[in-house]
Parts: sequence; C-alpha cells; structure tokens
Amino acid sequence: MLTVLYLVLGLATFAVLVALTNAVDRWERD
Amino acid sequence: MDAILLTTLIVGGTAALSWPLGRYMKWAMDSTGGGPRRQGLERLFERVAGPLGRRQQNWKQYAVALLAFNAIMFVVSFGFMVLQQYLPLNPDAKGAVEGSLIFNTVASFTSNTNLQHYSGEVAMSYLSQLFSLMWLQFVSAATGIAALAALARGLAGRKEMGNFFIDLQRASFLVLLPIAFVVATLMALGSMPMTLAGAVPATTLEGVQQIIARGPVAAFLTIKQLGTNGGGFFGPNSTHPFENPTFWTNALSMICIILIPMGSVWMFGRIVGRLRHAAAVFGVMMVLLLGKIGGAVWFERAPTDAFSQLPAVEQVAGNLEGKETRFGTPYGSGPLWGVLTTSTSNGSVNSMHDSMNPMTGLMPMIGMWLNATYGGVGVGMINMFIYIILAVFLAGMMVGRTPEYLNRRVEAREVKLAVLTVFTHGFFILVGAAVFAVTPWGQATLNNWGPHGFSEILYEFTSASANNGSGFEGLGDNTVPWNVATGLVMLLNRYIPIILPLAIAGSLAAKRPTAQSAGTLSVNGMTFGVMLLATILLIGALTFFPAAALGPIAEHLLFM
Repeated sequence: MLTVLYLVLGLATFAVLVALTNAVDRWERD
Repeated sequence: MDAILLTTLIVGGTAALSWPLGRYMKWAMDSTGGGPRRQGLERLFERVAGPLGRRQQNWKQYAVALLAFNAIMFVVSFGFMVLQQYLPLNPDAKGAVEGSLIFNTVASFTSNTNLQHYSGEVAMSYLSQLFSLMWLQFVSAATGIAALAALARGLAGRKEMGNFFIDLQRASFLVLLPIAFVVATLMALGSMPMTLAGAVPATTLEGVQQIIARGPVAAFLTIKQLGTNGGGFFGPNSTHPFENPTFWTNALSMICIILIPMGSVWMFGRIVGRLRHAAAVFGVMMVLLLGKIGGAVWFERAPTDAFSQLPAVEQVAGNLEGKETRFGTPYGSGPLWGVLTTSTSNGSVNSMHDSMNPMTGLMPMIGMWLNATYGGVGVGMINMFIYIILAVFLAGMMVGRTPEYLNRRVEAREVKLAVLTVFTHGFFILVGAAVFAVTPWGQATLNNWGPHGFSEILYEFTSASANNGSGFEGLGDNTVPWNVATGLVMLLNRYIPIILPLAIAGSLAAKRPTAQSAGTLSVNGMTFGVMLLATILLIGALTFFPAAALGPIAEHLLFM
C-alpha cells in the first residue's frame, strides 16, 4: 500500500512540473 | 608531474575527440536535408513515433511531451522494480525492494542522477538492472541531448523547436547506442564481466567460501559513463575490480565521462550557427575544469591528518586513504576522476570522496554547485545558457544598453526566468542541507560530527540537486526521510532547469531579430569569456560560500 503512495508521489511531482510549464506559458503570453 | 600528464592526455585528448563528435551529433540531431539513407532513418523514426511524431512542437509542447514521456519512464521502471521477485532474469532470487527505496532509485535513474541508496549486486535482479535501470540510463541521457537540440533550434530563431519523440530516437539510436556498442566491446576486452549467469561460489586461500557477484557489467558500465549517469552495477561503483579492472578501463571510463558533454557544446554551436561562440563557452568551461582539477590534485598531495605523524616516506605518496593504487598515481587518478565525475553530473566514483582532504572534497562540490563545466549530457550546456543570459544581462547593464544574445533582445522576462533557474538549484541544496543538519533526519544518519558531518549532508543534497549521484558517503542514507527528500529534489531540479531555459528560448525565438551594431556585445571573444567566467564565479560564491565555510573550509582550518 505504502509503495503505491510512493508511485503517486512521483506522478504528483510530474503533475506539478506540467502545471509549472503551463503557468510559465500563460505568464509569457500575458 | 604524472598527474599533469594524465590530465593532459585525458582532458586534452577528449577535447580533441569532442570536435568531430559535435559535428556528428549535429548531423544526428539536426540534419537538414541529408542523403537517402538519412531520409530513410527519419521516416523510420516518424513511423515508430506514430501520430506523436508528426507535428513540430513549440517550447511548451516540447516540454510537456518530455515530461509525459519521463513520467511513463518513471511508472514502467517502478513496475519492474516492485515486481522483480516474480519476474525472470533473477538467478540469485533477489527479493522485494522497500517502497521509499524504489521511489528514490527510480527518481534517481529517471532524472539521470543515479544516486544510489542501495547496492546493485545485493538488491537488484538482472531484469531490474538491465530493463529498468540501464534502459533509464539510455533514455534519460537521450532526454538531455534532445532538450539541448530543442533549445539550440529556438536560439537559432526557429519558432518550432522540433519534435521530442523524434529527437529522443535520434539521440538514443544515432548518438548513444553506436558509441556505447564500441565502448562496451572495449570494456569487455579489458576484462570486464559480461554475462547473464548468476553469482559464483569461490574458496579463498584461507578456505573461506565467498559468493562472487557478476553480471552484464560491461554493457551497464558503458552507458553509465557515456550518459553521465554514474550509477554502478556494484555498490562500490568504479572502485570494484569487475566494474573498473585496470588502468586502461579507468582511463577509458574518464574519457567517456566527459566526451558527450564536451561534444554537446560543439553540437549547440553548430545548430545555432555560431561556432566561435561555442569555442568561447568551451574555453570558459575548460578554465573552470582545469582550475578544479589543479586544486584537487594540489590539496590531495598532503596525507590526511591521521597519517601526518607517519614517517616522511609514507607521506610522499600523498593521501592514500580511499584510493585504488591499480589506477596509477593516487593523487592523480582519484582527484582527477573526482572532479571530472562531478563537473559533468556523472557521479561514478573510483575513490572514496569522504576520505579526500577537506579542500580536495570541496572541488567536487564546486563542480556540482556550478553544474555547467561541461555538465550532464545536453543539460550541462543548457545550464551554461542560463549563466550566459545572466552574463549578457550584467554586461548590458554595465554599459547602459539593452542586452542582446544571438541577435535577440534579452529583457526582464528572460532574466527573471534565468534567475529563477539559478535560484532553485541553490534553494534545494541549502534548505535541504539546513533542515537535515538540525533534525534527526540527518543527524541520526551521520558517522562523523562537526564540519565533516555537515559536509556529508551538504554533499548529499548537492549531488541530488545537481543530478550528479555521487556520494560523499559516511551517511546511513537509506532511510525514508533521505529517500523521499532526495527523490523529490532530483525530480524537481532535473526538469525545472530544462523547462525554464526552453521557455526562455521560446520567448527569444518569438522576438524580431535585432541588427548587429558596433555597440552589440560580441559573444565570441575573450571579453565575453572573462565576463561569463566572472558571472559564474560570482553567482557560485554568493550562493554557496557560506555553506562551504561551515563544511570543508572549517574542517581544513581546524587541522592547520
């Protein structure tokens, strides 16, 4: 069970990075 | 004298090899036109990529594709490692790996770091080593080369930066695999094991039974070095006699460590069409690299404090602690490798960094703090691009002109993104080290107290943030706090310094080119080189000197 949480933690980190990419793109377009 | 000779042959020889390699890498990664064979290869890559490979991508699409593919790499490798006890190629019946260690290991290899909180021969099956870790060593390195190619296309003024899925295949099949095949063959000829058979029992002269681990070491070792990965097949990494048997495998390994990072600079110069600019950048990297090698060799000539009372004849050899004498001169090979491996985000070790004299140990840390003296494959030049943006900005401010880089104006937006990139590296290292230095998360794992203990914690976060992966060691770092904290730092600081530079390149590519005038700062000559060098040293010193003063410098002064 704990191992699945670590997998989710890794995927959540990638989700944060994608969100950062989108945020920078939006900021550049403003 | 032999240290100078070894440095000249390894660094100088590889610099010479990097010139034709850079030309080849440009052909591989950014071929415009090409003959029928090349066109055939491109059609094959497009067929493999399917619909994903059909369209050109802007910086954001390229970055998202890169992140998505790397997330898939993470999940696939995680799956292999979780299930290794049920899967084939496990002749020594390796069992399950603990969850936080899997997270740390997969984050480490996905991010091209290869920080290892485990011993490969103890914890991993051959399937995990080959199809999880070695596969990641190829694709993570290819990701770095692809990102640099995209960045260079943007700086060359192209609004479309290429296609990540095509670039990934170009880097894997045209750059990394052919070179790895040649080097792996040479390594196997140099007495390195290459077998899928399990460990063998052996009886020592004292009659003791030992189990000798072996495996497909030559293949693993080669991409470990070429891709600036650094993760060892065996726990002791390149000090292990099967992973680095002789002086010649040691020399070939050092060449492989710096070859593609050096070639990446020339590839960048060729794609942006500014070879003289690339030469200036290459020169600045070389000055910094030689400075660190010189410092490391110099400080390692003295014995450690514990050996200083031994007879003078014992002290002539310098600091022998933690060195493998089969690699030649102890104060040559160990410190030289130590600097090369930390300047290039490789992280493999052929000596114990924890046993280096305090100021020698500072040199690898400087390499990882700057992270751009050739750096990781592809990403080292991307890191240097950030320093270039800041240097151009500072130079522009000094003479009162709008800064320009490659005929594009560098304005507030680009500078803010560049500062943010530099800031994240320092933030992860210094905040991480501070938190672990004052809590049981770090303190309970130390084997040394005082400045040396602080150096061990500082080095671990430095290695994680720089995606280097070498260990100062002396830490009991296979704990949940260490595994989670360094795992997160490795992932975040792998991709933030790729995403933000790509955004800068995209922003510059969208601008109208400016005409070159007499007031434009040339990015080719000595003036630019000195400006860039000063910027790097200034940023590095302002960010990291206080931490260095608390660790290696304080330890050095204590023993004076």
